[in-house]
Amino acid sequence: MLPFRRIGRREGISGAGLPDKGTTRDMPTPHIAFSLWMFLSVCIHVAMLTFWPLPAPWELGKPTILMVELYPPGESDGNQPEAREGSPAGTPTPSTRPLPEKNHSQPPVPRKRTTEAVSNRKDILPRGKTGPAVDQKAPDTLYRPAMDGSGEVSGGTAPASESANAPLSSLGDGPGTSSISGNGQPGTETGHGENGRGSYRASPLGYGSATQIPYPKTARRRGWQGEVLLKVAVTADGTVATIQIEKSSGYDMLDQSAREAVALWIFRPARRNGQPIADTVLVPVRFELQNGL
Amino acid sequence: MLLKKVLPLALAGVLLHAGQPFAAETTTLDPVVVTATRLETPLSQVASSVTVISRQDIENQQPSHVIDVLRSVPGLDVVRQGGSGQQTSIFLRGANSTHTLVLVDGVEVNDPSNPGRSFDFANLAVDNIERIEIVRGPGSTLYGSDALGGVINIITRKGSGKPKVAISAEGGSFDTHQERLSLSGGNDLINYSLTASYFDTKGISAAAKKYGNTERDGFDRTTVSTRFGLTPLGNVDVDFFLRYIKSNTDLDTFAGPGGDDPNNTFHSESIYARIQGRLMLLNDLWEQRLGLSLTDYARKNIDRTDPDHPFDSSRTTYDSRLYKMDWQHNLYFTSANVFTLGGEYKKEEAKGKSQFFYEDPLWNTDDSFSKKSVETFSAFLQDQVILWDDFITTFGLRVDDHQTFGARLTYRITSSYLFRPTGTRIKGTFGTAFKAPTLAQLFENSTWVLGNPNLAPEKSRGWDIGLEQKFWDDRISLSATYFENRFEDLINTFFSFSSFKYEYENIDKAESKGVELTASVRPMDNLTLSASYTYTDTENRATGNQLLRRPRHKYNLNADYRFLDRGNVNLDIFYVGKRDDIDLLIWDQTKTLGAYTVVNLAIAYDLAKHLRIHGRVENLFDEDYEEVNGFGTPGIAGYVGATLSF
Repeated sequence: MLPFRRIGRREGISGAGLPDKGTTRDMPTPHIAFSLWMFLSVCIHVAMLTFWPLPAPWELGKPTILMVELYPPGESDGNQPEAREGSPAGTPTPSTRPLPEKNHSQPPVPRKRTTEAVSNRKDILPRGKTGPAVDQKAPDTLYRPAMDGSGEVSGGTAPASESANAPLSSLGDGPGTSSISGNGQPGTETGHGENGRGSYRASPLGYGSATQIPYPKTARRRGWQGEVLLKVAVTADGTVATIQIEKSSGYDMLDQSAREAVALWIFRPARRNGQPIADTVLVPVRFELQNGL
Repeated sequence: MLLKKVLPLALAGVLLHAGQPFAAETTTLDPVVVTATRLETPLSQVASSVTVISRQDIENQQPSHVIDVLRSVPGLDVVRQGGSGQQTSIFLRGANSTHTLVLVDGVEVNDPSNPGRSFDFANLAVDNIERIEIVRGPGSTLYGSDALGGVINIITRKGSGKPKVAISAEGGSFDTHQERLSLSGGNDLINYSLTASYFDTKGISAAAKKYGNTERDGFDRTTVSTRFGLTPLGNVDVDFFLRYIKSNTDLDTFAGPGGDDPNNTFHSESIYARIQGRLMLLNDLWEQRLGLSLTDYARKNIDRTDPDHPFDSSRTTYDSRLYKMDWQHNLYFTSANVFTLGGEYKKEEAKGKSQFFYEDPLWNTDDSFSKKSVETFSAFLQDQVILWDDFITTFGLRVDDHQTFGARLTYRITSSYLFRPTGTRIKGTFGTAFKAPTLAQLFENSTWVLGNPNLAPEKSRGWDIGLEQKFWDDRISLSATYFENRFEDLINTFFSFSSFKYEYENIDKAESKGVELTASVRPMDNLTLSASYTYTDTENRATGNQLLRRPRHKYNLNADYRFLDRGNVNLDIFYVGKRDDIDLLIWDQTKTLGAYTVVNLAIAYDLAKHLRIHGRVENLFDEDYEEVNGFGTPGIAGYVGATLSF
């Protein structure tokens, strides 16, 4: 045995068969594959440009819904999420969604109410994820979270008569004051205040996309995720009096993003015997990154 | 998880005290979930054929070595000369084993002192790995030399959140045991992850036991892997990566009858290190990345005389290093146009010594390979254009200027289009790649081999076109890809009667084409079924023969089921069709090796909050097969272990 053919550690397990030496090197036709590929590419492009449905042109005489998002001055520091551009679904848009709750501690009671505006608004906003749509007439309601269609988490299920004396009851009026993030199903009562005594804890008017907690871009780039627990003192008129970080997410940037956004939330105030009163609640905010598949 | 428990309690509390809702405790509301996609390009926008293996996949299958999860990747064939720790090679889309560039955290780990500059997967553990990306098709435009068949990119885990510690131990067949310690965490300022592990097995005989080889070839391996990051400013990230691997392996002298060698041992030490800084400027429109990498190998093969080989002994050592500096700029002009510009400097160096002694001193050799080095300067640019959100095209161009053969231009075009109404994606790529001759091929001058400094690089050109279709809310996903690769100027040896040595020349040509099909179905949230099939047709264009060790047919079936929210069971089946290999006695003849099917089953269960137990059976049906002609493979084997985590 020739020693140099020892199977040693040096050689990789090659696998190229040993060719016959001296075979004429017939050059292949190297550019056929490329030409074919280019041709195919051109065909696809032409087909796309011809058949791809372009967005319908503006039609005169039809009411057009302009979706405008405004951000309070303190937030436009460059860490604004891209949602601002109203990017369509599919682009990396931070979105806020309620966490579907699996374990109901009591059977949900379907309510007929949940504001008819819900179904109306659904027609206005084709996609729930496009961020809050704002009626230009009511820019001050910008940060008021929407009545959430899914109801379970929103707590926005009080009878209209009850919420009539809440300072924000007007939210439900007029189309386009807020966006619908849920699926538009009738809300179900979570239990607070269902006993007819009109006593329940403060709850946000909705976890719809109107809440818009931005996912800071730097955090996204670095892959930071976590859950922050906020302790929110809600006044009798539903605004946030004080806000504390009860448990940090481990990332100050995420904590501050949540804190600043939730500070602008409007809550449905707590009530005792029908009277709105101040209350303190804990709001968990979970930041999650998806792989964008 | 915790929240799901807290919330109903909180609600129940409210209900019980409905009359007096303002008890001292504070209500916890439902969590608000803020989601965003990661800023890396989502896989669905990548036109290249990519397979991603996540940490979850690795945990579900419980492999010890990276190679074990690669076996199921479409378009990738794995061969190992025996059990754990033995020389391991891969063939990507029919390319040679030296034609895959392997990166660990951006560090090129192909060994510069290896005559083919290939990467030996034998010693690479799954420790601390977050993700493995396998990019098929010629890829030199982004990565430079060696990416003829494709690129494998291994990414180390980044620590986050509260400090976490995990200790695990495992034992099983072939006197195998494995211990591992992991530590990770992170906050606004720093992040860290560290894993140290030790693996030891008495193994099986590397030379197949069916030829009467009984001496077991053991293997032990120590791995330390860490990633440490600093984020001092919002726009500055500094990351440090280090992977250290030390291993000792028993070898057999050769395959087939009489291959056993009781004291032939191989010792290897490798270091992969990188420091990388990232700076974001102009309101995140300009990203810069500057990195320094070091790859260091020290390998030693010692074979002393023994009763079976009273005269034969050898001693070889190789040391090699690769230094790399890279500077890349990404310009995010608009979200629809990303321009990338970069430069790279690379210096590879190697030296070696080899001595062989035989009964007849006439054959004895004593060679040394003094330190040789080669430098390469590279520049590249790429533009990614996105039209109507769904039509993505990239154009890339790269020049590598190599010290011996000069400049080499490579390019790559990729395109992918998502047709939203039907959820169909069509994608295609065309690209070229090259592989610079290795230091051994250029400069070796030993008893038997003479290098050739005039060698040209090996080159490849390839294209693929694929379709992807998703159904049922993405619960069903199907894909089909057709590929073709053409390899030219492949370097091979011939015996020269002028020098009486083997010399290298750019002589070989080959081509490969085939089809990769994948399917994945998630009928329930906790059940995933996936399958892949690859057909590969290869041809040595000088002889017209199929290339060695590439099966025409290969498939993989995998079922993963998560039960009771705390357990997981994974069933993995892979089939490799028949393929040609070198005959044991007459090296220029081939022998066809039989097809085989291997079934692996892995189960894990969270016994308590901090305790997870796991177990697996490898080669459940005790299939008797060969990956490389004459070398052994493990029969049925079982392993159990536990992990404590805090």
